[in-house]
Amino acid sequence: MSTQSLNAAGVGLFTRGKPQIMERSDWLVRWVCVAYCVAALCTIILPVGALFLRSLNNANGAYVGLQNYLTYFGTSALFDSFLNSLLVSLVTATIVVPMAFAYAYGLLRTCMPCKSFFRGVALIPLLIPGVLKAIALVYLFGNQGLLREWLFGHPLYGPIGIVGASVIWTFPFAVLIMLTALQHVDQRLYQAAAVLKTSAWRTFLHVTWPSCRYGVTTAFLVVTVSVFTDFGIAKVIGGDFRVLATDIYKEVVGQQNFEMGAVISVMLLIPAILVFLLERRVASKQVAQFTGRSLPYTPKPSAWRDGVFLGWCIAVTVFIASVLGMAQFASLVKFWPYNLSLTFAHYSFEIEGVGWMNFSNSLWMATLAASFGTLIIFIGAYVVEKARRDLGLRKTLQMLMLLPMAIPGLVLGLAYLIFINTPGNPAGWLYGGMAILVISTVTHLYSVPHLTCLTALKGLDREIESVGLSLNTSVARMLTQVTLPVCLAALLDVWLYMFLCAMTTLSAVIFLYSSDTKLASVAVIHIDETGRVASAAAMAMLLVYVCLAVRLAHHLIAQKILRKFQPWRTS
Amino acid sequence: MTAKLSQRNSVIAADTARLPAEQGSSRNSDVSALVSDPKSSSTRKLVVTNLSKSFGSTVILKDISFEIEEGEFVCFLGPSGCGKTTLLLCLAGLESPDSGEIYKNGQVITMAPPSQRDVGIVFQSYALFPNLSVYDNIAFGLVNLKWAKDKIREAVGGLVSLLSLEGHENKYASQLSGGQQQRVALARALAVSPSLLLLDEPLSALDAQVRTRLRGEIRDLQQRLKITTVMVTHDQEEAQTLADRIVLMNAGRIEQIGTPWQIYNEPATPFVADFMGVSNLIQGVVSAQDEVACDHFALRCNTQDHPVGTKVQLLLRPEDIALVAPTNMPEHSSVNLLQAIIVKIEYLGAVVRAHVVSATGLTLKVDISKRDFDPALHGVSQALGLTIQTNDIRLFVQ
Repeated sequence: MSTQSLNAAGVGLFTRGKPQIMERSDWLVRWVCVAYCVAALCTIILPVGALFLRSLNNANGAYVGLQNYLTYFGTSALFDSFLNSLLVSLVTATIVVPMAFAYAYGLLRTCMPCKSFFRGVALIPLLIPGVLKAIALVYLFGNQGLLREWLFGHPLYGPIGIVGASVIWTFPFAVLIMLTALQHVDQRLYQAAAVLKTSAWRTFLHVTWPSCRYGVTTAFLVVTVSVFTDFGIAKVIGGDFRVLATDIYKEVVGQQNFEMGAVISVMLLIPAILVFLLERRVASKQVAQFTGRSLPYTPKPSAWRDGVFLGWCIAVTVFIASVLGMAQFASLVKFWPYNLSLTFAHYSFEIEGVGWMNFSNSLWMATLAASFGTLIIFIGAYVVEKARRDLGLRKTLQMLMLLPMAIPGLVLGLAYLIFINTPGNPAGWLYGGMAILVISTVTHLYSVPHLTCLTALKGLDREIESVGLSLNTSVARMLTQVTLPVCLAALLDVWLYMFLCAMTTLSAVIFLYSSDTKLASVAVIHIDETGRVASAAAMAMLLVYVCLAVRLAHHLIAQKILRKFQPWRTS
Repeated sequence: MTAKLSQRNSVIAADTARLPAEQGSSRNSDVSALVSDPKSSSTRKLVVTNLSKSFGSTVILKDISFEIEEGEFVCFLGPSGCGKTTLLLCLAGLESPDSGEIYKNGQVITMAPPSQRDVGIVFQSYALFPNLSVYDNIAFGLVNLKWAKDKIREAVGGLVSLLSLEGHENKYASQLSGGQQQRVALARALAVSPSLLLLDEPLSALDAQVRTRLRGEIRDLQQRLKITTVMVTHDQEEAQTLADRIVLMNAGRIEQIGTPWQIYNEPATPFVADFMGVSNLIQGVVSAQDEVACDHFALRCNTQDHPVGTKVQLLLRPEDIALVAPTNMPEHSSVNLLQAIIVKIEYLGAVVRAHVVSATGLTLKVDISKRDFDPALHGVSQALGLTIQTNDIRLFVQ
């Protein structure tokens, strides 16, 4: 027997397959990876599995196969909501994507003034809970709205309202995606086109469009699936127009029919997963369009073009401002539309089961979710990036960490509700507490910050890790002295993202709160159900102000911290 | 482990005696037999035996064996994708070989993690910690060793002046030029006094002038510190000026190991000949003792003991071919004579390269030194004579 095979056999016992050099840190990373896989199993796979199993049971817990699904497709009212959901999400995407494209084009490809202002404006809707946008639309275009004539007698409640509010809600997502897509084009391509005397239209068709068509596709998919799975807007402004998300809520909360709720959840989940897979495919195709050697595009002034796009950006700004302003005004008006004097009375929340406590719950939950979430997500991204010895494990983990992107919040929430109340589940005590809200929120929001952390970690040369190893550096020292300081900016961004999303999240927690842990976003829905829309607007405005304050504080603190801990960046 | 080693020792011991005479010029096929007892010799810093690695069906390294002496500067040279970087990473412990062994000072270190190998490593990308100052970068490894603060300051101060980095101690990598960054990376690797210095294309990211200067500095530093050094490069000139010995690799195998002189003047394979400098390679068949028949002509050269009918490849270096006026052709048995026409002239500075086509249709590159260049004689479409000394022709059996 040769020495090589002896050697291979000896080491092979531990690593399966080829022998691998294992540093102490490699073992640590491996076990942390395994721990994350187990965690993902408990927080994603098992709950969704439990949800799926429930959809195959009847109310007594007996297995009935696809019986529930047959009932579902046999009930035309239920199946109609599937088509309704599809309709509003496709219409919204068709409206939002060109809007966002023009807006982003104005920001990047023209010389219009105040670009950074307009860039900030586009992101304002992120700070407004979706429900509040719907309420503001009610005040603007509802039966007693300021501008109701604009709808020519068509009712706001229903598809028009859902699409309108969804357009504002998804606008920032689409703009962010379009900004990235439009940024990535090589100026030299335009120069080459100009030298070859190419017409403006041909240039657009052969240079601009190819460079951003993946971005447009991605934006379309993201907007479609967001609206398809959203609950809050449809709940407030949907009226009698049924969509999948409100159906689930009605089945579960109204009729305690968990089985049918599970069936509809699966109907919501499958398209969401398909879109997710499609989006990953698109994303993987987009690489290498823009290389490090490309020259960024710098526009030249053109009076009429700059004017047109400035006009468009102002129009969008006015619309967003009027929605926000209307919401603020509504929460202060004594009795719309009859008594327009101002009062803070709506902020006292004298409604049963609702109060300032919900607001402090939200603050507390968002702080916990953002803080723990950032820590967990960063460590997760770190081990995924560093697991150089376990490629299979690494791939599995990476897939698990992107999976939450494919699972609608409402589905995840219902899955948690079913899973945690499964008899014999040792985690059953979590039900009704703050912990389950934090866990479901962190899981729901996991993927985007994970990708942010990965990008930040990839910014650190792989070879830096090798140097650290050859200098016999401990994992802790490498992490605290090099990796963390370099990733600090990304970590602060992740914290902010988690906080803002957790403040306004609704779908992931609507099934999981108890009277002690009811969140402000849920309270808004409950107040709205009692008909006191002004109070609902008031509660939602509180969330807006917290988000705004935290956003500003983040801006100031981040600058200070970064100047202190990342002096190499400023120089 | 022990049983395994003694088994290996007995196999190899018999060949040890042959080593010193041939060491350096041996070809890969002979090397595995020539490797001495990896545990015995005190001057053999590093011994690699039969190292192989593949990713899936792609073979990265195949049966690599060589030795490195204490204090030696060795270059792994080869085209991109030949496996030279993977080999270096195996030495560093950053890649695991599938089979084979690596010995350092007689100890098996094949599967030892990098932290236990006592190596310093410098990458093409510098890989400086971006958030640490030059001082902290250089001190990084010493802090890991828990040195006292004042001792660290002293050591870093020494390295800073050794690598002429004075005045940059408090700067960050982003404030330094490429050459300065690479000096910091060198200082950081040298700070912990590693017994082996590994350089992965350290000069490739720098512009030509900085590259040449730093090349000289690296060589001086290595001579002064007498540190055993392995450098990966794809630049043959870099390898020739820096290395005591070159390990020339191709497609995961070693083509030849030797001094820069041997590699250039006694290439073991056509690949080596072609990779090192400019070459004219001609196909032919041995047609008689000391005669090779090519397409429409024959060349006289030393055919050694190869029988008539052996397929061979002939190497003619451009600088070994002389252009003479057609009226001035020497007649001598040790010289080959060919009629040719110049089709293109390239001015390369110190030499002028003439592309010529012989009357028999053979295309050759011929170098004329600047001093010998005569515009009246060496013009395009000029008919000239070519002379090639028989012992300047190198012959490879195919």
